[in-house]
Amino acid sequence: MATGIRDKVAIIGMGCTRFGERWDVGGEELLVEAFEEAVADAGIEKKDIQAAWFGTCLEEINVGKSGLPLSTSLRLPNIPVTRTENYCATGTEAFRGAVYAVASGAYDICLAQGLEKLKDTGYGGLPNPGSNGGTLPWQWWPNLTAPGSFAQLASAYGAKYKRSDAQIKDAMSHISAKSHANGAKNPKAHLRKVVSKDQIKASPIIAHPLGLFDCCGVSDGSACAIVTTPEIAKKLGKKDIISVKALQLALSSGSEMAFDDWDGDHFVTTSICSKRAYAEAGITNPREEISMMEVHDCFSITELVTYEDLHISPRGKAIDDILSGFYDADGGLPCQIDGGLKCFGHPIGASGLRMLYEMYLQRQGKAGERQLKDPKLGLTHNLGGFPFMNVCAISIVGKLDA
Amino acid sequence: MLGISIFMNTSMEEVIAFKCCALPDQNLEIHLHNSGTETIVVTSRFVLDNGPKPLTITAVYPPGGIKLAPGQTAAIYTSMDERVWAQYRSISFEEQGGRLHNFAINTNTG
Amino acid sequence: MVGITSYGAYIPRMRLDRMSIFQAMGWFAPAIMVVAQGERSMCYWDEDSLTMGVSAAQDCLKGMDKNKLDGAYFASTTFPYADRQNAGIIKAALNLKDEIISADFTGSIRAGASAVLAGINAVASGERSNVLVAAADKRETRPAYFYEMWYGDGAGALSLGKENVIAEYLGSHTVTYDFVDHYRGGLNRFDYVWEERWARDEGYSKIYPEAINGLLKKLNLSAKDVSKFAFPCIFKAEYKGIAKAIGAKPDQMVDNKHEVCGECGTAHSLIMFISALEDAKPGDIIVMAAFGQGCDAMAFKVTEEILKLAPRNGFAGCIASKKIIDNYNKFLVWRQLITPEMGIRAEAPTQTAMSTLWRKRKMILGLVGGKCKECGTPQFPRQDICVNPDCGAHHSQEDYEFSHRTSYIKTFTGDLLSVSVDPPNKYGLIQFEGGGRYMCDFTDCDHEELKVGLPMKMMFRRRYVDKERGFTNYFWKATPDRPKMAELAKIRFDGRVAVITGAGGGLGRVYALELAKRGCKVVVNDLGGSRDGSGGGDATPAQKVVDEIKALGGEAVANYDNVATKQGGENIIKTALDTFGTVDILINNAGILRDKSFLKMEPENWKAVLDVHLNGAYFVTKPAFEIMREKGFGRIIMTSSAAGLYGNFGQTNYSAAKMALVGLMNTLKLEGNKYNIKVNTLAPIAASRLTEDIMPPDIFAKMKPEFVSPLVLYLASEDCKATGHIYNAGMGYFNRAAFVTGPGVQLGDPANPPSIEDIADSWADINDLDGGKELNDATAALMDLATPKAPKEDKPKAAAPAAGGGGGGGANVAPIFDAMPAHFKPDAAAGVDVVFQYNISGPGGGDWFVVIKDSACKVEKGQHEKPTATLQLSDEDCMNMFTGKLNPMTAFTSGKLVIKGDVMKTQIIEKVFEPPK
Repeated sequence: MATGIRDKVAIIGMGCTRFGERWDVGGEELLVEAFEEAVADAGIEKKDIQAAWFGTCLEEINVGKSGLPLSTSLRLPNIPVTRTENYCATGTEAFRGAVYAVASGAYDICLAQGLEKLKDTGYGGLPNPGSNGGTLPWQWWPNLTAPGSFAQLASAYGAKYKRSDAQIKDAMSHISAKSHANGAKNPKAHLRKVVSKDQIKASPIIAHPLGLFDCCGVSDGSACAIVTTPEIAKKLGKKDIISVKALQLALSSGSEMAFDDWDGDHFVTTSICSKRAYAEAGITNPREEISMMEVHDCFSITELVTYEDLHISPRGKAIDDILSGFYDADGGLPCQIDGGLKCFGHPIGASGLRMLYEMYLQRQGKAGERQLKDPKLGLTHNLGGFPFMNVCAISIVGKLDA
Repeated sequence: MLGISIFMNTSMEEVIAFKCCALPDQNLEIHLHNSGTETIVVTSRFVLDNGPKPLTITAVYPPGGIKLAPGQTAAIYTSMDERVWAQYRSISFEEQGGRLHNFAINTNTG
Repeated sequence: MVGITSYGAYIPRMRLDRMSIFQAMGWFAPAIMVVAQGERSMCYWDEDSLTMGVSAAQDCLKGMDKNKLDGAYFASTTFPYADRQNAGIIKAALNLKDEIISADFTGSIRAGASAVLAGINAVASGERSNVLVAAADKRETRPAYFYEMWYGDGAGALSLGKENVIAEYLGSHTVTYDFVDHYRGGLNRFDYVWEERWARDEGYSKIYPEAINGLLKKLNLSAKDVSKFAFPCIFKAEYKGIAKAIGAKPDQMVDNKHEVCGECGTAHSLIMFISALEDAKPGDIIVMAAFGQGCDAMAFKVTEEILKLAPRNGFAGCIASKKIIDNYNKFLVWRQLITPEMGIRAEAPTQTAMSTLWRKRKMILGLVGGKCKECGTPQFPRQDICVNPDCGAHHSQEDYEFSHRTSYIKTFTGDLLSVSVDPPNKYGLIQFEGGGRYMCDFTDCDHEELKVGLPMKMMFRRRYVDKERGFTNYFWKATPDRPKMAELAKIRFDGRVAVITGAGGGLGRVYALELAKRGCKVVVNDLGGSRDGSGGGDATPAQKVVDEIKALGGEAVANYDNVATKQGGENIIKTALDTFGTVDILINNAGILRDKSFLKMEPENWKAVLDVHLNGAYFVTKPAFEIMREKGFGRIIMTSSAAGLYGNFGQTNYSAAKMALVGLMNTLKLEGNKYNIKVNTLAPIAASRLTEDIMPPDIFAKMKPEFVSPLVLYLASEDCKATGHIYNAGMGYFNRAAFVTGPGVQLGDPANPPSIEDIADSWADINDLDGGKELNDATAALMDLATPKAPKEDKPKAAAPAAGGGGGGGANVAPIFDAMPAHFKPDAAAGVDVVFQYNISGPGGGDWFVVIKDSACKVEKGQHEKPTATLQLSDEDCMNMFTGKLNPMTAFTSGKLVIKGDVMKTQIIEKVFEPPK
């Protein structure tokens, strides 16, 4: 009988590069930058790592296929390296591989590393895959972009819960302003200037009703984690060990876009995935028990509905919580405490691990200006795809055996 | 009724250059606010006056006019040398339909 | 009998205003002005001959069983594929059966007509039973010459067969000549044209008559036997010349459609023919001919079957749906006559896998999905496993077509980031009627018209053109279903129940019919008596109206109770409750006449009229009102009359009753207000039993109740927010009548009542209605009467508050503001930090703002961003106020001075400035 992942795996080291338009380095160099920090943090040697999971999504414009870019950039000594990809949930997917490998007892120490080098394309924004998106999707999928797809959540949410465009815009602006205020305190973030809520609200529209600040930008970055068993972590002298409490994924069955009941206003997957994660971690009241979170804020509207899909704000009430400051740095459940995708941008393979990095720093009291007072459980939410067809990955970390 | 707010050397400049299809140097941000009860459309241009000689600025983003519902605020951006800006005391905007709105600027600088 | 069994057309919605071509290119080619009338139809960026052919064919198939088609021909000189059968793509798009013959017809502008003849021959020979022929062209032209102006884009389609023939094929005559008026070599993009004068003289004017006269001779017909001649000819004079040569008169010639769409290549002969069919009567003979390296001429005789044809767009319907484009650059970009920079992001891979297209041909070309046999869920796309999470059956689906179904927008966006030639790129989730949905590109629409719930229809359109390989992808996109939008926008009464008294004839009957047509359930009450109320108990009038309603597909029930009794009124409403469960609308329409001059008015005549009109309204409205109050909705209409509102000789009883109803309404509207019960009164002028012998017959004829009922139905609708109003309606004229109460005077004082002489002296003022207003209820009237009136001498100069009201005074107020700082008292301004904005209207006015801060006063011209308060005055009042002639408090209370913002703070003004001298 399976017993879940709770307290079976500890994180002993993490690393994260500075994110941004890293004209100075390629993917190969970004991998080394993050790795060096993680190994030093873990206090181990490279040869102690027995298996690695490498997450990168758009390999064709980045470092190319297979696990070889990781093994050759880091000069890993002929160890197993698996490449994983699950759209924007790739980072958490890589983490999942390393964690299960340790929990299975097959390996002692594993590495999970995410990377994306998006700025060698010659233009801003994500590339259009064209016919490389699949021979069948190429022939019938609409000419959509991520902003356009996610923007539709807003009209559906407004219609369902009778919230006006102005109210939703106000809440979205608050979300972005909060994230930018947090990111201003993060030396590794790309965008580090505080922006006012008024400036955010007044900014140009990208895909109605999403404006410039409701969408995250595209950037380069890498982040990684070294995981092991709690016993080995203790042997290495780690105090206040951080363990994985829950690690869950949920993917769409295709019903959102082809069956008749989804209203277009929320994420079916997140709603289910979070419940499983809470059960795995033994959480009964997430609003009270979770101390901090990083959600997938590629678009402000995603963050808004995610608060409800995570069962933290009641259905239809997220706007009230947002405007009351509940998710602000000094609120009841700080969200995007590192600045989120808004300030870091979204190097796809790296984002899930960057989210964990902040939870890890916060637990250890190493978050500098952003430090929260004694945070207990941290949740990361990493979403890939579109509202109507997606991958949701959730992890919860906290003090071992607490 | 139209109201304005000025942001010279705005923190938005780097974001617009980065995110918004590489539009560089948009260092002046002006918010246009419709405090009236009717929707108005403000043309994407303005005139600086009460200074050396009247200066018309048409290179404003977004172009094509700014439509404002009652209570709505939208921003326009342009590239403006702040030393040139400091020489003027008034700015005016025109609605599609001709109504002019005039505002005082740089009132603190004596 | 062999002939045409159906027809369809498609003209793109986009119409390029020809003057915009001239405006852009007239500097280069001024001569094009001579053909710059009207609009030419223009393909949207995602349309081509194939998409237009599919749309025309869809239109043609309306009301037909498409599975009977065993032939599909497609004609064009601008096929997207030179080698990949285009007719075969149409077959896939329409999801026709596999055992079908198909062929492309091309090479000449008469290919469309040739295809029709081939189809006729196939059917006549017995080889085929039903053949579809579609023709379409999107002709390429270089900018700034006549052909760009002359041509349009469009498609037509005909189906040919032996059953239910709407136009019998009489015969044809063809001549073939290698007459090269223009040509396009295999690898060229544009036509090469020879001299038009030669083409007209040697080509059109000789070859058309040869073929058409040959046809007439063969069929033993003369031109006067033919109702219409339909053949394309862009040269106007030549068209007339050919008419003469075939012996036809101008009114027999079908218009060549230059002004509304232009000549659509090989589709044009079909399009002109179809436009003639639309107006044809059984027995009409129509000749269709097409010129192009020779000429095909054929004749058809319209049959009675045409009257039974199911509705379709046809040519007229397509022409009516248009969007005029006056930006010529869009034409140039969409037709790739200029190639703007699309950016690196547009360099996406575009290879299409033929093997995948083959496996999924029904899905991609036909928009065929699946319907699960286990759970009945329609779904797109069709997959091996059912999408219903509660079903999940394997291999359980059968084909289910979506292309003809209506859908509604569930979510949508206007995306400025996608690569697009017509930004913003619009797409969203559409939900099909009956089930099924998918994320879909939208086309042919503006972002502003999109909203959740909008009805959409599916169109076969281009997706991408792989220029490198020469492959075009097609799929189905959604576009607003504009006729359905108009239908849904109509005011409806579905789910509502109406009671109409006296509805057996006249106005009441028309109200009942019209409400029923729009979904309302109706109780048709009528006693059945005569005009003076005698006799009665005749069930026929009410039942007849109920039968009429049922024949229309509506729901109604008859009631025969007398409105003039408590029991009668209750029974009427009970009928509504018992039959339909509720009452939403009540129209008190029942009435009788007993006209007599006052002295001859006996008590029973007086009472009878009041009983039916007034008391009847009371007895019926009371039980109805109770139900409406409970449900929080009601619409009550009283029927008054000009007699009541204004008076009419010999109708004191009727006038009294009709005016009394207004009184009833005045109070009922107050009691019903908070329950959303609106009460209004109608004073109709219409032909009915009550007016029959009062009106001269010819005026009587114009006074149909149908010219009154629209207002009454509006008053009965949810949309109507008016209450307590009186409306006159008749013969299409509508106005509102209202009571106006004059400002009046106040005479005497609390100690001394006015004398009769005071009254006499003030008589004119007491009667004066100038400046009068409408008052909502008795309390308001009392308050209004008791409020002190402004002194008479001010009245002529009274300016409406705020800008623009100032009279012709034109006092120049600028010196006031210049002098203001000089009158400032700094000591009185300690701690004051305010900005007062003055907006002075009138020719002598202007805008100034006064900044009082740090014990200093600064006055500047213009508009301040954030004033503490704004003061608005006319220039004259401003001058008077600042010179002490007008007291500021008086100015404020009389409305001459309007203050916005922090009114209290404006009291500072009197403190910090010296009083005027």
